[in-house]
Amino acid sequence: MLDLAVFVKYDWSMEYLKYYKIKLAGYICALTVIFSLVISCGGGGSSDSAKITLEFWQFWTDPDAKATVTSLIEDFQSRNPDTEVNVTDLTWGEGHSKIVVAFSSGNPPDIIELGSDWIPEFSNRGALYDISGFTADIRDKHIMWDPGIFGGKYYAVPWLLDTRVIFYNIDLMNRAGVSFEDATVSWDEFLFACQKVNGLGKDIAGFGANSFEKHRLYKKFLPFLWSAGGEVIDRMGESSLDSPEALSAFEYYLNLVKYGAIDTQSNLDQRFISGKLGFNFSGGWLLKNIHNNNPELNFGVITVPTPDGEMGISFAGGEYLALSSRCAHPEAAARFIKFLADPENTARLCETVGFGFPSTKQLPDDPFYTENRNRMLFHEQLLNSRMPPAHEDWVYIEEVIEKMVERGMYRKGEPAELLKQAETEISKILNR
Amino acid sequence: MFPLLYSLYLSFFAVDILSGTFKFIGIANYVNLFSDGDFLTALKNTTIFVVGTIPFTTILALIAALAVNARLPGASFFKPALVMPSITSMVVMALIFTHLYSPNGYVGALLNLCGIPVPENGLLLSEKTALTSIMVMDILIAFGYYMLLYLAALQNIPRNLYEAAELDGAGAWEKFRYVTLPHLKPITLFILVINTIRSFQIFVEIFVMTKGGPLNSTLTAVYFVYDVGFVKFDMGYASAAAYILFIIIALFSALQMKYFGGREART
Repeated sequence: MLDLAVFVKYDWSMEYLKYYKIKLAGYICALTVIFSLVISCGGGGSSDSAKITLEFWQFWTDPDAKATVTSLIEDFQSRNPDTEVNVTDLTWGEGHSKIVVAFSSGNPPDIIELGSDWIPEFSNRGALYDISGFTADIRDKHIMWDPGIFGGKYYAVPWLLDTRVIFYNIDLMNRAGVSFEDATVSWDEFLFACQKVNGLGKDIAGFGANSFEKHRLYKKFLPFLWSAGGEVIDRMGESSLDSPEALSAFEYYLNLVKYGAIDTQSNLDQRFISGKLGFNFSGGWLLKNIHNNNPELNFGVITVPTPDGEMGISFAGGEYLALSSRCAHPEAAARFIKFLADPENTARLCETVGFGFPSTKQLPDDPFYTENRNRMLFHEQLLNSRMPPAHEDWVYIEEVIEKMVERGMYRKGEPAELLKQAETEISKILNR
Repeated sequence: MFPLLYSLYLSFFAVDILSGTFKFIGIANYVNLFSDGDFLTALKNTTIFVVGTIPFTTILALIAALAVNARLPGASFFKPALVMPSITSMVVMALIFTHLYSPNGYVGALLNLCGIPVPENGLLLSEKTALTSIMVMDILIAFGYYMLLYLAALQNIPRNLYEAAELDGAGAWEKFRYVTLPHLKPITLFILVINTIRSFQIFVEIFVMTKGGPLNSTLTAVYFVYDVGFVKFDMGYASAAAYILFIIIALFSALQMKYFGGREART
């Protein structure tokens, strides 16, 4: 029952005030929403409202290289006006960590440049987008797809490839009274040359052996292993380091170390550039460094030696382009990576940075390559190069190999015994 | 607080950061660490580093502070000169020392002049000299900062205590032994605790100069945590290793408080 007395005494003025306050708050909220919508829709003009924005993380930070990448992106954008590409630069020192953290925080970029040995780690865990459907038309055009394939599906497009060859100092060899007749040499010839150059004096070293540097040392040993017919993992997926081929390669590598110096890659490169190192197993970047820092250096390159003097198998490294599994615009992103990886566009980047090759069988018809004997030999070696097995736990396997080689270099065990231990450790990693 | 607790939580899981899977494994990470040769080597190297640097750093800092406080000739030059390395970026200092320790570096040349054999590939590429070289570098860089702390404490000792001691016939040694040292006890405790924590956390020097090599001879606990956590991204295992290190540092600090602390230290 309504109590009339109470009803009359009630302070209706307060109630009206409350009512108007609520109404006012409602208007403010509605205006805020409308204003936000207007801002978000109209910020870039009506033509931008349908624009696709792609986030691209890449490693080319050198000013010249970055300028080329930027120019390639501008070309892509002019051909695809509906697509905008935002670039974030990474460094090799911390780029891997940043990518992993981006994935783990659920905010990865759309497109990522990945080192060839990183791809399995990402593809095997479902972090990359299956681009099999987008790559059917370019599969014959490119080589070295293997690191980008997992479970029969394609996850990354090869972009720029490089390999390692042996640089030799011609003046030091002349002083030591040795020479190479050909670009392919046998183990014995090469060891003899290292021994002779190493004997030239205290400040001259023969073979440049890498010290324990993670992700580097194994790349120097594996070519000798492969060239001797050895394998880290056999076709059955089992560890196969404890083999006669691996033993001969390991013993040979340790003999080379005896006639040389152990140092970091950058120091070995520096020593070679300054003419104090006879033989340096290095990549295409050294060509540019020599050109920039000591163009007078009298040097040549040979392919990886083998026991019988044929061309050996070297280590191939490369940059690959992949899409993250969370990429919102896979078609546009796939268009972009196919554009960047196009051999002509890749060749533009290679020429700027001074090394590397498009991922094609044919050497580009360009004086940059065809008029440089050393680059042509690099390409020959590239076609006879391999990448490490695409295994998600490769980072652990390479560490075992590096520790084995390091122990051998510091005489902490017999080669056969060290190989056996390494095989056991790799088996544990493969079977866990 | 959240990172601290979350790290403890992670240490009981096998974490795959990329796929976002967390598998509870109880104390398996902790158990595995105590049979992990690399982790045990890292703990051994870290302990050698802590025990081998702290006494030298502390004593050098005290001697330098006494010399500067006594206003010996050249003190005004040496005070900033000794402090300079400790306020310079550790990365820069580590790079400078990497060159000094290289096969053609000044340190090797100096040792050769003194008839001390130097490893063929330089001091940092021999497992016998790498850790010692980094320890020497660390002492030389760090003691200037602790010298400043000692200097401040020395200048706070009332002068009348020294005058009273002189009236009682005390010589220089007695004044140092019975006046200076007791007044330096609190700051010494502070230096020991701070330096212990800092030394257990040695990372930058290793990261820049040796990456834990050669033959794990410079692998330290924090570098191990970094390698497991941010190279292999095994966050559960790295968290467990970090917690073991945390407990060790806490124990060391408690022991120092017990044996070097006292009523004076808390006043």
